[in-house]
Amino acid sequence: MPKIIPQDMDSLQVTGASGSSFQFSAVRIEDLGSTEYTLVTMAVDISGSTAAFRAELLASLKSAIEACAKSPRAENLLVRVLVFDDELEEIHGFKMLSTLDINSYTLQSGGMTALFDATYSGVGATVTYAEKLIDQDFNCNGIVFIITDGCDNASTSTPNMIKDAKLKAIQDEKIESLLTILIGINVNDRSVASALASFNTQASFDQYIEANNASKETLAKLASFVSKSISSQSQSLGTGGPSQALVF
Amino acid sequence: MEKDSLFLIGDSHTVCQDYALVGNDRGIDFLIISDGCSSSKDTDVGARILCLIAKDFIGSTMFNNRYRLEDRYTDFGHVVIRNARSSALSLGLDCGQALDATLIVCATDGERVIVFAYGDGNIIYHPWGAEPVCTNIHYESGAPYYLSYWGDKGRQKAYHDLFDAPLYLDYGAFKHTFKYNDPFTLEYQLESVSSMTICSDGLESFVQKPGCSSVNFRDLVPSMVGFKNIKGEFLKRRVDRHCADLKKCGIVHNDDLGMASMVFENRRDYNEVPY
Repeated sequence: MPKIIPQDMDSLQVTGASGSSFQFSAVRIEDLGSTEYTLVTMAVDISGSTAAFRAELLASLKSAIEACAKSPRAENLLVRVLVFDDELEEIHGFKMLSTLDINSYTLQSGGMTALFDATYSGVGATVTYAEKLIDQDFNCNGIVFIITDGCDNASTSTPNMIKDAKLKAIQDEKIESLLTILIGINVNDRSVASALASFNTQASFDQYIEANNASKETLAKLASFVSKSISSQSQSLGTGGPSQALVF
Repeated sequence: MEKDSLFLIGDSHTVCQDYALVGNDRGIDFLIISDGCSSSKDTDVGARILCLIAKDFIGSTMFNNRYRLEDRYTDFGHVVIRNARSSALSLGLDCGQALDATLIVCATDGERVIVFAYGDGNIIYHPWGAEPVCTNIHYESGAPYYLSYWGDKGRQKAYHDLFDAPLYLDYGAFKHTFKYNDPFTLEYQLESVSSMTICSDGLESFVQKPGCSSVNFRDLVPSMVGFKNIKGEFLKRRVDRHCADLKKCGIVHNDDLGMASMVFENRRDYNEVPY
């Protein structure tokens, strides 16, 4: 069923090198009032293997967003949340924190893992929207979190495409800076750990966090890490470069 | 209609002595800027005092049609400087220095736009369907005749003895000449206005480094007021970007830059038929 885009949002497209394309939505630029924004993307794995800790993952996501809303930089954040199994689904596009209804968030686990596509969509949408914002005199940087418990087995995009998209965006000054953070949760299989480490390198992530469990405590710590990273990246706007990586 | 303001420290300054604000007083939307004299003490505070005092008298004075425009200009100037002196004294400031600052006010009642200028600066009128027109006010002596001289006969005589020279209203292609202490007012029909912007003389201080060769400020005006969108901090976005682009070419503004702008989304912004 086609997704209905709210009237205050625009529907935009990211086209991949392989010809595939991803839709995303974002608040209309003419409705934005500040001078600068950090574009935040959280892509959450909802493949079948995450069913066991789905509730904790949802709580962690909500907690991260609630913490961001209390930040002094809250008015300068635009947040996009998408979930992925073998398909990508945008829970909501880039929106002001004040307009989010986190109580409406749900995670329905099932399916395989289109990890590369989710990452490409996250990076591509951030860069595409940032380019439009910068063209309209806004200052803009971005931070993308990819939260997964496993390897890719359903994507059309490749790690090299992700790396190239990110590099080109910085070289062409389409965005002031872009941080990409890969987070592996409940990673206690050596082959999965190896695959994610390899993905981290090939896709040129800025940071890779690996947690060998998905306990309530670990996911609460994750929420805190995410919100602090967002706050740090937002404060670096105008410096010309990204924020320093925080310790998980 | 949207309003925004900004003040930026000059490349050669350590304290910003410009101030700017926007607001509404009794249904009158306004812009105010003030530029403190760099050789007088505490004018960064004095510029703020003048703006914060002025904002409370716009509604009652500028559009009071019982009086001629020149008389309203004089009344407004006197009430602002009288109250500003009280405030400055209560802060322990030297009124003979701290209030040495220009003041430019631009306001609209929904039918007309009126500008009162006390000192030098620039007024940019951007009509619908045409290029922006920059009216530059400058004193041949180089010394603005500040509001702080009003009511101070000693300082007025000193100014006259040292700087008795005309004030110019310069449109670029031609200029009008006034006495340095003539009332200075401008008036426009609102329906012709797509935006109004007032600036301190910092607009004229852009230089190309190294060497500091001057840049013709009139060449900068279309880009300064070429707003790409008009929501929220539209002026800050445009000027920040324009200054950043200029800086890449080695062009900076040596003096502080104070600006305030009002933009109208369409001609009917003030003429909507009420339901």
